[in-house]
Amino acid sequence: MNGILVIAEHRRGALNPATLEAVAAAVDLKQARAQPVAVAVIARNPDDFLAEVNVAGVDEIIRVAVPTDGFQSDVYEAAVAALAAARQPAVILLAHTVDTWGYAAAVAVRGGFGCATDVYAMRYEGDALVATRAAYKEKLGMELDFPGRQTVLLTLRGNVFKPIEEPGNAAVSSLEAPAVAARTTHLGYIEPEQAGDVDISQAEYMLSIGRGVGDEDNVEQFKELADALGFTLGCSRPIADNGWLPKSRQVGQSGKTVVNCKIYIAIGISGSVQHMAGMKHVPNIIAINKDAEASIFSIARYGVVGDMFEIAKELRNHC
Amino acid sequence: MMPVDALARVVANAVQRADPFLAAAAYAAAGEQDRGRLEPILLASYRLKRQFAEAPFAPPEVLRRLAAEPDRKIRLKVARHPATPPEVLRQLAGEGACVETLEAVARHRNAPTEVLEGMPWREHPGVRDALCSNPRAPLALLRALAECAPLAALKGIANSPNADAGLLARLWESPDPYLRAQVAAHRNCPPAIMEAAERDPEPAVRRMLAANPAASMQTLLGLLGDEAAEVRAAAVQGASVPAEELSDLAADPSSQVRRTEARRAALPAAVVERLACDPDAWVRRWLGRNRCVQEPVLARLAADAELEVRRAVSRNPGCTPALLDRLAADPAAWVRAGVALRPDIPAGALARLSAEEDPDVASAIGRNPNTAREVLLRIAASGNADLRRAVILNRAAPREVLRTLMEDPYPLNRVMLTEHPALAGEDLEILTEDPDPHVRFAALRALIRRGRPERPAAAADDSSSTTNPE
Repeated sequence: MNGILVIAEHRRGALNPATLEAVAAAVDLKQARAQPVAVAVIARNPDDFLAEVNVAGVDEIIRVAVPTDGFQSDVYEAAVAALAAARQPAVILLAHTVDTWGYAAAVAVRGGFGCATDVYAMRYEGDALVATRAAYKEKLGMELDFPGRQTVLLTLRGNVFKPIEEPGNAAVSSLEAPAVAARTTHLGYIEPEQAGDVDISQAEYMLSIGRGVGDEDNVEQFKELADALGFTLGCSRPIADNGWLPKSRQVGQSGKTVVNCKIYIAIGISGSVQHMAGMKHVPNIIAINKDAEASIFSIARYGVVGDMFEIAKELRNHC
Repeated sequence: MMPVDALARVVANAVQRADPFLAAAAYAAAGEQDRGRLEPILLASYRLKRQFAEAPFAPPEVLRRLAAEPDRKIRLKVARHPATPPEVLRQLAGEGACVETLEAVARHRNAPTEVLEGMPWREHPGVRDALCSNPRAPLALLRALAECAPLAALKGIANSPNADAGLLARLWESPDPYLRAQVAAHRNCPPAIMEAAERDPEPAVRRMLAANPAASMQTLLGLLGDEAAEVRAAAVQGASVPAEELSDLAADPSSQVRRTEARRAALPAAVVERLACDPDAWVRRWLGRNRCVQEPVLARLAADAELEVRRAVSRNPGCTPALLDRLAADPAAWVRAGVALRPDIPAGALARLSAEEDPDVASAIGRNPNTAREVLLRIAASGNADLRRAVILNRAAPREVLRTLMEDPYPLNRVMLTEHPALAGEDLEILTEDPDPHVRFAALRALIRRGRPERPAAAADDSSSTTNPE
């Protein structure tokens, strides 16, 4: 067994950026232990994606033509199993997405592969691949190895591996997809609810305000601060309930989850369970509150106890 | 006050159902004997005690009882609870209190002055620092603390409303500019220090002085000419700045100064005219919200290319019905939502906006006290929990509309529903059997506040499904 196989993912004609993250992870592994990297594109017209996946470090791109572009787990399961049988890779890498949840485990069971999901780090210890994933609601990182497994299939967490931008010079080959009687039919796409003026779920830097703002007129200065910092403004439920900010800015259980957020500044937010449901996963939470006992401090990496208006003014003066 | 027999029924029901959340609500109103019957339910497990000790809705009476628990962690949670009453804090800070509990009491806004004075702060630096940040700490204590507190804690003292001129003068001697800035911002800052602060090399000190409501007109005039834009911006907010000075500031090269000026409560007409044409959209946004701005300028701002400027006008109380009517037809939903929130919305605009499906507009219509019953019924039937909650938050919503929300799938909505004045006692009684414990608690609390009994215990026999779901 040798080589790393990455399965590309796409939807409605666009490559999922997570594919290039998986490719980057594969190239990292390749550097640790010399082995070729192949990227398989399973699509009605695989050529549509060749240029995008052809980045530095990729040795081969495998075209796998299938009858439809809409994702079907049976089709992918059969195609990836055929790829694994043909290329005998040591590692198969997939993005950890709703699509791969539908077939990754089935492929692993079918091939007798080692398998781990939502992996965010990998390394070799001698010949053994060790994958790291979270456990106990992100409280622990656990390392997994796969003794006795010739092939290991991993799904990779998003926004962990930096995509490679330099173009590559990969060879292109083809593999015939096995015929599959798919058990499902793709009927169409249902558009998600309109995100409003801004999609906070995709924002990387958020500044959110809560009940501590006190008055509608005070909201403006935090809009101005967020603007000056280059952050996206969000809010807790009472602010949106009062109509002081659009519903699309509401973070929390009945609002949105800030999936991609890296830094979250919570100003005047006490930290209700409902609000924290939408942001507690953010790695860098900075809480500003006059109440030192506010629940928000229990999940904050940095906490500032003080007058939110004064602190906001001070921040503004440093922008 | 709830009649005695009604209260007895409430207690009997809570006991019969062994429901800790009903017990917690009843406990607050119950007499000593009844509390004895409720306590075994209320304190049935460690988990329940912990839950109530940190629940934001926990009544002070329950916290008082929990303060007597032998477990240190429970007592600490009570000491940290914002609703803990002064006498309970006094008890918690008594003999045998652990350092963490002492720190929590020292920081607590309800802590009695004499308790703060008697705290062992010399032995415990954490207690000392917590006292420095407590606005109830008396002057004598602050003086003693200032002798040995570290810099961070000194800033708390400089912020205390009880700090007098003498103490502030001592703190002013610090080389730390931020501590001096706090002193310069204090209402009790002595004139001599204000004069010195005006010449301080640190802009932060001059800025905080400019923001001090006690700063004289002379001081503000001096600071209006400051080289630092942040200082001029702070000074322009001063109420005593004369009108003639404001005219020049409307042309200040710093947008920060002009933005701040646009927020001033009183502005001469010429300055308003100038700021209304400012190239910086934030200046026009602030002006659009300014209550001193009158119709001709508001009308111009209502036609501004920037959406947020128009939204600002829609929220200005000085906006006329004609202007509101115009803004109700704005292409941006966020602007229309601003109109829809207004209790003085013209009838025609209300009718038009009532048909909209945009979530912000519909939510605002749901909260508007003038919205028609049929429209409220439609919004209350929405699949969007936020929109349904808008109707619950509408104090003018009629009972028949609210009744349709008694089984709202989002528990928080049902909790908020219990606070609505139009909901009848019978409705609240039904909600005391809600599957969600917080709803049951809130419903019974609301009933007790109204002085109404819950339904008789005999009628509640079939409620086993709600028994202690925790």
